[in-house]
Amino acid sequence: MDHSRYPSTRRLIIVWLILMTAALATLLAGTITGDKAVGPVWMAVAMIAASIKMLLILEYFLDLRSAGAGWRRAFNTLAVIFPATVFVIYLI
Amino acid sequence: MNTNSLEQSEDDDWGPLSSLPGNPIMWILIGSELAVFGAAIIGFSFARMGMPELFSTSQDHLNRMAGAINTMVLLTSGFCAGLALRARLDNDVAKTRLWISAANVLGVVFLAVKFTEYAETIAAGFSIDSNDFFMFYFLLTGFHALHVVLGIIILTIVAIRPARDNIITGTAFWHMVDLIWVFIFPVIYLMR
Repeated sequence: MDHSRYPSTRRLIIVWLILMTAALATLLAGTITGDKAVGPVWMAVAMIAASIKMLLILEYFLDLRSAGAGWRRAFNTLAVIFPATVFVIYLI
Repeated sequence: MNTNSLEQSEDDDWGPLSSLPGNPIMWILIGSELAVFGAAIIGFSFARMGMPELFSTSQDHLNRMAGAINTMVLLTSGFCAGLALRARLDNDVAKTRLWISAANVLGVVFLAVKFTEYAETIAAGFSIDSNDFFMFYFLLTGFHALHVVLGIIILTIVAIRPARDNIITGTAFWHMVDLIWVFIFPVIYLMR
């Protein structure tokens, strides 16, 4: 499989900007309460941000967009299921 | 390995793996590493369930800002690796080397911040033996840092031999290192 669909420089810049925004959201979610517990809402924000980062890295930087539909579904499902699992364990 | 043999390997039938972009072996590695680190992160989360107070007070001794800076450094480094591959696909070898070098410099910055953080933590009296939190912290971040070192070596090699498939494989390894950190940071440094 080739990389004929690999993103343009412009698209890579946009992806990087979104990644930076998601990283800032994670930081905000984790530090906004100081030394106190983060709480379920901010923990959810941190996990959603991590999920978005994983999806973007897979789809654009690793060019999963060029992969077969099955692989895309498998990795994208993992990018949602994994942070959701961590979040559920946090809530228990 | 020369370019011809890489092209040869791409032509081989890898079954379902053939529909993945780049080197199928790299995707096997990505899957394996995600499974290993994923299991460790889930293990950390379960361990925290039993001792939330201990994990929370231990975590307060970490430098969260250093972890956040390193997240941005690594994401930017991955972006540089992406630009390197874009340049290589456009047959611009000089730009490829430039962006690979930028990715490598940021990898070194990541390690410098990480070791400064380790020095602070150790100076504060904490080690891998202190408690379960610090055992997970040193093992997970240490094993990840080892991957960063390996990634820098791989990127250096592919910058010296910038065949298209070498760049695809080298940058894929670097993005995998990025992917792992994206989950280590919020779980180890922020979850409390």
